[in-house]
Amino acid sequence: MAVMDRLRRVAATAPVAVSVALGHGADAVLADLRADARVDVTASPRHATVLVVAGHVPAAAVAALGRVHDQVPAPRATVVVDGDPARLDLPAATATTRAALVDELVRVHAAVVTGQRHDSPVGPADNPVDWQGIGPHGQGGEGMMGGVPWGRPMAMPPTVGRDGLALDRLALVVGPFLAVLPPMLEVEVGLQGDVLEEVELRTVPPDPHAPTPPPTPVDSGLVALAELLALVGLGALATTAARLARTPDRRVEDVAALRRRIDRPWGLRLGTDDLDRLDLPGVAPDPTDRWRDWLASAASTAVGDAHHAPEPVATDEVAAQLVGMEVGHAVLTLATLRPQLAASAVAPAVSS
Amino acid sequence: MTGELAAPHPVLGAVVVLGVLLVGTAIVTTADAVVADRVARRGLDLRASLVRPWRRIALSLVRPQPATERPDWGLWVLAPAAYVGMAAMAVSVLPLGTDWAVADVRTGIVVLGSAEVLAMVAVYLHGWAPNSPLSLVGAYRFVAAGLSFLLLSMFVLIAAALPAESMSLGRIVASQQEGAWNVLRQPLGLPLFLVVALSVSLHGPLDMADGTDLATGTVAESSGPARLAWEFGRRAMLTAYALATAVVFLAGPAGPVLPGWAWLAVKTVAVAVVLVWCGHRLGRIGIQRYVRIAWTVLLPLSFLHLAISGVAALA
Amino acid sequence: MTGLAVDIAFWTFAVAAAWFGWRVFRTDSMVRATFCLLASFLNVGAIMVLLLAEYLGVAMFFMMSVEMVVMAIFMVAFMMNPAGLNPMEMVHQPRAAIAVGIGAAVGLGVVAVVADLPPAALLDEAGTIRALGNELMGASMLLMEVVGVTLVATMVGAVVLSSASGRYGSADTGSVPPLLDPDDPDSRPDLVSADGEGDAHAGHGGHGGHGGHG
Repeated sequence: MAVMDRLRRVAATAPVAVSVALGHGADAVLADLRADARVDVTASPRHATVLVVAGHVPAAAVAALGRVHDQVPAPRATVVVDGDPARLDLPAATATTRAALVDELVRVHAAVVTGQRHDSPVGPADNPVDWQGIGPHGQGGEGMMGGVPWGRPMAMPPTVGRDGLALDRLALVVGPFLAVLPPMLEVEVGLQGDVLEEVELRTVPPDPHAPTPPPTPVDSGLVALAELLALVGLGALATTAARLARTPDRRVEDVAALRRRIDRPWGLRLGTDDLDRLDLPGVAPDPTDRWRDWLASAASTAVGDAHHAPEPVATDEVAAQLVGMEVGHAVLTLATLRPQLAASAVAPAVSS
Repeated sequence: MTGELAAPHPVLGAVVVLGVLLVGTAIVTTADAVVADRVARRGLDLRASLVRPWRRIALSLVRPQPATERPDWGLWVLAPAAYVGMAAMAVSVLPLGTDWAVADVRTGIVVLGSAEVLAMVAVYLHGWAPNSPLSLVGAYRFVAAGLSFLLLSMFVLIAAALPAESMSLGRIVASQQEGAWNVLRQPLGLPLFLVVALSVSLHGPLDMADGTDLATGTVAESSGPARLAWEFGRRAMLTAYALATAVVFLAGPAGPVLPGWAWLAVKTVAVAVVLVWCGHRLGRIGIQRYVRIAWTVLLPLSFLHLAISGVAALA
Repeated sequence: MTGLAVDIAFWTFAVAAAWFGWRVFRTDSMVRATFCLLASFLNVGAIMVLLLAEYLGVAMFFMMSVEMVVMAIFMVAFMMNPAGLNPMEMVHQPRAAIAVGIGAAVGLGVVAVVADLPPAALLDEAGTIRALGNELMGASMLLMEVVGVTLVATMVGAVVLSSASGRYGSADTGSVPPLLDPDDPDSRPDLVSADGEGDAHAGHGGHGGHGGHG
């Protein structure tokens, strides 16, 4: 076992694989983690060692947070930034502040990898697979249709399709902590292959008496840009954008330099130019223009202009525009609406 | 059933193929880390760039693989193995030195094509086996991409076989030494084949199966050694197709002074670094745009390429 | 390879091909059945390579892999059970199928054992193969080419006709779904309530569990 011990010691020095569960107003923490070379922000909780909970998590999302927690493979640990672990039903979690976060992560990660720390699961120990054994083939229901098993892709859409069959669509709920979606957004879809046939978007609003968060110290547009870059596979450029987002006195030349590197047909535009145009009030129809607006806003605040808070969008209008899109297109489209959707999560817009 | 090049003993051949894949993967991993830090402008600490990927590998080795609900364990474990196996099959038919290959079969380019198709099967099963929706979408998506790039690959390889008058990769190298390198003789072929290389190895702008927009798609439910095996497969496949690009378009082992294998290594690493660099500067293309461009632009281009190459071969 | 190695390889591939062929009907998932069939074909392809029909063998890998992947996608797409992981029966009319299978196996076996097959390759003295080649690639070449182009045009046409987006916008603009009951004009699926009869256990599949995915 000497080999394993040695391996663990090396593994403890690896970048901390972190899955980030974002509540309301957590952009600063996200930018810190993306910008730091000691941390790898993962797209799936399965790839993480440590779960970071940042921002205000409403009571309505605590159960979902527990499920994400249990998806981080054991041994695992959780670090809550500027929050109360007990309120989140994560009693074993470590509480820390934003300033001390990365140092704390490195410590916790080393403890997990060397076997000194292991947070137990918060959900039921075994999958509540109550469908198993029911029906003639043990498939959980009548005939070949099955029932509604736990967590299983099943062809049971809530409505009948246009051919009168309720067979081939995959009904699915993702969020509110899915790393590829804007924070506090829950998406219910009916999928045919990888095309969205039905979409419903729900935001999880903050608790009624939650303290008003202080104004965020980072540029939310650049954080959104970093997330978008990560989504099209440009993780290295995402760290640059995140670093720029958290620089307090940004120079306008740095913003221009970032723009020169990504605003080219073979750069970020390779991923966003082809997304469907949107018809939403207060939103640029062209997907590429939406992230150009973030850069323009970052450049104008760098020369001292006031920052304009994004206007919320009506989630049902966004959902209507997503119907018929491919999953990846829909994810990228939502990412280009990140500031607006974050605003609607706090203060929902009324559809026009 | 063999072509002209000498073949080592099968056991030695297997060792050589595995060695090529391991060394190639190590080089690709290192290049990836260095290029990523350069693109991120993380300062000039080369040592940190070189050490970080190995520490990540150590971390993967000590992490467990959690179960999803009712996965197909057999296929989940077999898929990375099959994918690596297809990279190995591709390497085995490529000339690795001036006068030898592990198996220079007469049907070399068909074997190369079969490796691509079976890699598509491996990727599909890798996405299907965990019983998880985002993985499955990644699998579907890769099949859509696969059916598009397989035809490209076929036409480009057939065009390369025309001047050689043989489907053996040994003969294709020999014909380039007699005439001009294919990169000059068939200028459309190289960019088209690089599209195939990036697609089949799930890299960069053409990574249709494991994109971050699907929370890493087929690999979203994998952790620990299982994930490491899949990442090894992707990089081994990139190595195999960088090697194939060097052989088919850059005359593989041909070159002055240095021994053949050294020239081949230099050309392969150059191609691999270009592919890795693309991955850090080019955004991932959407699947619909990918399929549309593949069928309406690249496929007609490959027809044209085949026609030009055919006329040139007759002339 | 030496004779013994070839024999061992042949029997390994032969047994594997038969075993995977049997698994096609014993597994409980369409995707697994499809890829068992592929594994069976791959083993047959390997036997062809052993028999020095190298191109045919490798082409078998190539063709069958694409075919099986497309088949898996279409089976999963056009039938229920999207991921193909729900257990289901893989056979229809098993008695008749068993009878036909045994009959075919016995028939082919008898032919293989009884027939007086030549032990070595025969010289084509009558020139039959050459004549066949000339016929296909000579006088009938034009016909073959025309058929080939017609097939491609048909496929392109089918794709264009089934495309969701047309020259004048979305192809299903203004279309209505077909009636479920031909005699009842009120039975259009978009008019029938989703909570109607026969839909008792319609719930939101995957509800909850994959909420946890993010």
